[in-house]
Amino acid sequence: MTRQQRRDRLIFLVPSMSVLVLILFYPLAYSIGLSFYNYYLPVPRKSFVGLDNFRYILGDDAFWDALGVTARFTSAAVAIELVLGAAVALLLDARIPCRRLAITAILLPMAITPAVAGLLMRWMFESNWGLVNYFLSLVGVRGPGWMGDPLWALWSIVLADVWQNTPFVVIVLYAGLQSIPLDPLEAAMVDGASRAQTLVHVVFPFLRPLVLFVLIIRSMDAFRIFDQVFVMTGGGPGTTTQTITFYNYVMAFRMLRMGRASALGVVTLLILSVVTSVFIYLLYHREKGEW
Amino acid sequence: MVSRRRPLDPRAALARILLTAALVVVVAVSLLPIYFALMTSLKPTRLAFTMPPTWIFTPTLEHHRFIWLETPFPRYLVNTLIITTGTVLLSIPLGCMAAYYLARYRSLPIQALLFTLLAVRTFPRILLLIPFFLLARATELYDTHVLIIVIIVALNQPFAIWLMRGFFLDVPRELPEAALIDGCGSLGAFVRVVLPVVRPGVFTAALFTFLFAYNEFLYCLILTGTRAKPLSVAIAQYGAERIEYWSWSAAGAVGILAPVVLFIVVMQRHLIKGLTFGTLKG
Repeated sequence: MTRQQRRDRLIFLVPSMSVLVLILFYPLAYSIGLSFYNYYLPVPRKSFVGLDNFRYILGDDAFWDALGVTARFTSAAVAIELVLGAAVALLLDARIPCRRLAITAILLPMAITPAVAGLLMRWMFESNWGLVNYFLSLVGVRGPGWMGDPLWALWSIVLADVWQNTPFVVIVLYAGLQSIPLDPLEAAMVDGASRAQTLVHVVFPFLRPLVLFVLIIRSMDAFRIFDQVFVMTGGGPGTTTQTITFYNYVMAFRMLRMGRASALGVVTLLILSVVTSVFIYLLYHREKGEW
Repeated sequence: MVSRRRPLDPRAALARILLTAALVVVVAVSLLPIYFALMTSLKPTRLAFTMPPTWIFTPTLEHHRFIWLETPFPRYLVNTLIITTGTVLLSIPLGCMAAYYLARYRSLPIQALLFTLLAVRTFPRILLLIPFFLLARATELYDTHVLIIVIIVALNQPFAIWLMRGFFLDVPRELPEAALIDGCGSLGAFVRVVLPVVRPGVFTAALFTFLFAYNEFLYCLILTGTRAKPLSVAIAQYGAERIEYWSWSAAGAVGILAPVVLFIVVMQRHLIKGLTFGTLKG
C-alpha cells in the first residue's frame, strides 16, 4: 500500500467505516452478547444464563409458528412478484402506446411509505366497504373477511406486498430487457425461431442473473416484513400473521424480554445468513460456469 | 403509422389490443388504492362507507383542513423534514467519499469489505433496535432527531456506497491524477474534479436516501415519542374510535403520499437509473 493510498484511506474511507462500526457493528455485537443473558426490563439486574435463551426459543411454539408464517409469506409474495413482474416487464418491452406514462404509474407503489401503503391496503381489503370485495361482488363472488379471517389474513398482507413491491421486479427486469444486445435477437429471428423459442433460449438466459438478484433482494426484504403487518393486522387474528420480525418486536417491546428477544434476533440472523449464502453462491459462482 | 405501410394483419392487431388492455389493467391496479384514498379524503364522511362506493360527490377539503390545522400533524411533518434533511446531508458526503476510495483502489480486503456491506441488509432489525432502545432509555437520546438520523445514516451507508461506487468506476483514473499533479490534495481533486463529473449519481443517491429516511418506520416507532415523531409513525398510530377518523387518516395518508408521488413523477428518470444501476453493473 502506497503512502498516497494510506492517506486516501484515512480521508475517504475511515469516516464512513467508523460510522458503520460504531452504529451498526458495535450494537450488533452488544445484542449478540445480550442473547446469553436473562434480561427482563422491569428487573434492573441481568444475569448470565448461557444458552438458556436459545433453548427457550427452539422449544417455543410461537417461534416455529412465526417462522412458518414468515416462510409462507415470503415464498408466496416473492413467487407472485417474480411471475407478475416478469410478465409486466415483457409487456412494457412490447411496443405499446404511452409506455413512459405507464412506467411512472407502475412505479408509484414502490416509493410509497410502507406504513401508508399498509393503510391503503387495509382500506382496499376492508370486508364491508373495501374496493376489493366490491369488485368481487361485481363478478358475483362473495369476498372473504380478509384481515379478519384467519384463513385470508396472511393473503391480505401477501397481496399488499405484491402491490407495493412488484414494481421493483418490473423495473429491474425491464431495464435488463432493454439492455439485451440486438445481435442474438436478430440471429434468432433470421434462424426462424418463434417468439416463444426466442424468449426461452435468448431472452431468459440473459435475464437469469437479474432474476436471481431480484430473488435475493426481495426474499431478504420480505423475510423482514414488519410495517404492513403492524398497520394491517397487528399480527392477528390470533397470531396468524405474526411474522418473525413482528414476534421479535412483541418479545422485546411488549413482553420486555430483552435477552430472549436478542437470542431470537441471533437465530433469525443465522437463518438469513445461510439462505443468503446459498443465494449468493448461486449468483456469483454458478453464472461463471454452466449458466 | 404501421398500418398505412403494411396490410393490416388481424392477428397482430388483436395481439396489440390485448397487450394494451393488459397494460391498462396493470396501471389501474397500481393507481386504484391511491385514487381511493384521495377520494375518501375528499368525501363527506357519510359517503365514505357506502356500498357500492360513491364515485360522484361534491368534494370537501374539510378533512385536510382538520388534519393540518387542528392536529399536531404539522409538527410531525417538521420532524420528518428534519430527519430526512439531516440524513441526506450526512449520508451522501460520507457515502460518496467511501465509494470513491472503494472504486479507486482494488484489493482482496476491499472486495471483502464490499460484500460485508451487502450483508448489512440481512441484519435483523430488532437485534439492532434493542441496544439503541436501551441506550435511549438510559440517556437523553430518547425521542431526539439526532439518534434517528444517525441510525438511518448508518443503515443507508451500504446502499449509498454501492450506488456511488458504480458511478465512480466510470470516471477515468487519469482525471484525479491530473488534478493531483496540478497541486490539488486528494480531497481537493475529489471535490473539484471528480464530484462534478458524477453529479447525476450524487443526485440519484440523494433521492433514494431521502425516500429511505422518509419511509422509515420501525426505528422511529420505538425510539420517538411526542417530540421527534415523524409522519410515518403518526399516521399508523392514528386511532379509529370515531367514524370520522377514517376520513381524517385518509387525508393524512394523502398528505404523506402527495410529495412522494410528485417526486416520482418529476424525477422518474433518475429513479430508474438508481434502481437499475447496481444491478446491471453486476
